[in-house]
Amino acid sequence: MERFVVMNSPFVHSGNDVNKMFIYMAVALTIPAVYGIIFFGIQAAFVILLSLATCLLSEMLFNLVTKKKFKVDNFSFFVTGMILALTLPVEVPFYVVIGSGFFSIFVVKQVFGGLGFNKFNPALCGRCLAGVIVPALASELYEFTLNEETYTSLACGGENSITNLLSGQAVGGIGTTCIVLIFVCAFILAYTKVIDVKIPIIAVLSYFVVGTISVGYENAIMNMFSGSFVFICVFMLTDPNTSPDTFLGKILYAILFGVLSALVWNNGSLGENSLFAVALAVNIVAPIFDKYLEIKPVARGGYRNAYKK
Amino acid sequence: MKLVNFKGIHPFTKKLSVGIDVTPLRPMEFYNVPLKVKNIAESEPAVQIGDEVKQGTLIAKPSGNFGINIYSPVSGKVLNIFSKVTLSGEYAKHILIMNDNKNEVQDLPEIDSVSDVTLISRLREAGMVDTISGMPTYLKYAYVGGRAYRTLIILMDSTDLNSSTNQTLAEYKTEEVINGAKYFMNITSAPHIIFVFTEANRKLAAKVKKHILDTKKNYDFKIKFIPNKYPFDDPYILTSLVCGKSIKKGNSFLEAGITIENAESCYNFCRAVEFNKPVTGKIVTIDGNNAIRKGNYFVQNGVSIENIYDFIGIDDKETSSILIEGNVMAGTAQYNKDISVSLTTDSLILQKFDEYDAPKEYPCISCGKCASVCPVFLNPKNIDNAYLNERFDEIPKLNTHACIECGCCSYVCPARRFLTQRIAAAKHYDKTSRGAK
Repeated sequence: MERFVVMNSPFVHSGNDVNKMFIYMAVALTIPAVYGIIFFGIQAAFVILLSLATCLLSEMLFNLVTKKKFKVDNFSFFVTGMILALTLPVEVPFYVVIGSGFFSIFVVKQVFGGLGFNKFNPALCGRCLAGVIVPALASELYEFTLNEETYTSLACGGENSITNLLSGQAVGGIGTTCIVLIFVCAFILAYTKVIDVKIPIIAVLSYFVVGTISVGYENAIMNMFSGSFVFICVFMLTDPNTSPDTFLGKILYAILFGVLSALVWNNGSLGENSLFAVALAVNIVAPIFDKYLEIKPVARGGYRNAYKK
Repeated sequence: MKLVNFKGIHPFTKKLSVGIDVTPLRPMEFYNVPLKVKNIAESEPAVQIGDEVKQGTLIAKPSGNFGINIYSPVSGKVLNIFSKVTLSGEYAKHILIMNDNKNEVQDLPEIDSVSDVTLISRLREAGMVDTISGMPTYLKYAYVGGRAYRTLIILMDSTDLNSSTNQTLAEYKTEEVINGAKYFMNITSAPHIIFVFTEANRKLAAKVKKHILDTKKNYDFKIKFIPNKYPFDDPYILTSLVCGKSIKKGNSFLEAGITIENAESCYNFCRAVEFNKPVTGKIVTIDGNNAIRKGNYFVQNGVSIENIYDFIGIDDKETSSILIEGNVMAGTAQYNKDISVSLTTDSLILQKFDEYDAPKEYPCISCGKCASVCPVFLNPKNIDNAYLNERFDEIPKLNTHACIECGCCSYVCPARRFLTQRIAAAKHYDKTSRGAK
């Protein structure tokens, strides 16, 4: 018996899939997480699990409040919770993790309309809340991040320190220390087309250029690898929802982040939180890039040079 | 750096129908000739039930200004004139002809000269239609004066993922195609012919060039290449690529002085002028993973899809399949096989259903992949959002009417959103609401 199925075009698909994208992202995030647990000890695992549990529960809570059916058909809560935990230091108090996790999922993501409608990266907002909004915590984290002896010795230079930084023998967030592993993650994500690899590459390059002009290239590289800069570039800046859609917009967005963070991180004394604040500020600008850099369609007689040879 | 390099999609499969000459189908017993081609006005039957017709007898005439002459595909007897569903889903008159296997042929009268007036009247006489829009070809030249066209583009290739009719004709029927192109050039005031190939077919282009240089004198032509990316053979994008001109949609190509024909029109034109043959069929690409003998077939007008697949052979009759008229990106799925092939059918694809999991929509994650492939520089996600949230005033501002409905946005969308359909709906809404005002 022959049967014909009627459906809408196109009858083929590229194989891009939202669920797959989240799963690839989750797999990539577990690589620095495992390293963090090995390097910082079992307490890191506690922070990560707490953050994940908070994110899941606050998503369930929101659905309970708004009387929606809860279903875990994507891993967006997992990605948010993971990124949030990996940017926090190991000795962070547990109530900070719970508070920022709740804030990022319940307020930043779900109140604005859920997946795809949030104006800011949820994990980024949660991290900024942890670092900036609670004043006492800010100073604690600040001291923790900058006043460690190992950190100062690493940051001040030395022959071996660059290899130490690359291999993650440094102090910082749980997942942000090992630069090599983050590069591996970036490669995996770019290969599976989860992230737009333009953004991290351009951000790193523009950071390097501005850093070289202001503090010299050796210091610029040292500083770049010693903070969460690379982690933000790979995992937070490339969030599809809060980055521009247009080609030119993406490039300018990455350059803006690279330049601003180079100025703040190399010359300022505000510590690691400033990088997250800069990333949040760049998120705000993304829709403006989209609005003004849109190319007029071909059939409108607009962009004449677009197809010119 | 050309911005175009980042747009459109690369064909993901190799065309399996390439490499074989056009094969005629075997004669069928019955022919159901539709009198309507796409949206063009229906023709009036010129024969009555019981009449004997030869192959090439005029069986339908245009009732108004926009119809076409339709010729009998076979010699036989008119059994019935009745209303039936066409490929585009509308009801139209069909003429049912029974084959008497006498193979009697009736040709068009010979033309005495090849001036532009006689050539244009031959276009009209032979019943030639544009293979994409279904518009009668002579209308382009007759009513506005063919001399208004300064640029003549002949598409010798297609960036479609399945169709390879133009390519096959250029390879195996080179002489006819080149002569037909010359007749088109005689109608227009173009100084030379521009043959357009995709970059994947440089060998074929070299072959055609060699053929012209060996056999022709005083033949002015140029060969240009476009990237092998879908949908760069769309008329609007093609003119932008080849001429560097951007045409506003809604304005005619006449204002820019550009006319586009393809290899098949040239082939038909050559046959109509040199051999006095009217158009009685269409060259159709048969493809899809459930069809056995893939290739290009000369299908007489009015052959039903069922007859074609009896001839071609279906691989697996047990599984349910999708029967697609047009290409896989923007074609329409047909629900039965008892539909006649018309003069605009480019390809027929029989695809197994198993290989395609039915789409389920997820919320948009604003990844911007749709905007990154859109060949006319739209932002499909914004139009989708505006239409769903009933912000209809935004739709014209987002240049919705520039959409060419190629289907690239739906193809790349990771959330499997029905972008093409929704933009088409928004476009329709925009058109009708403007008309009402």
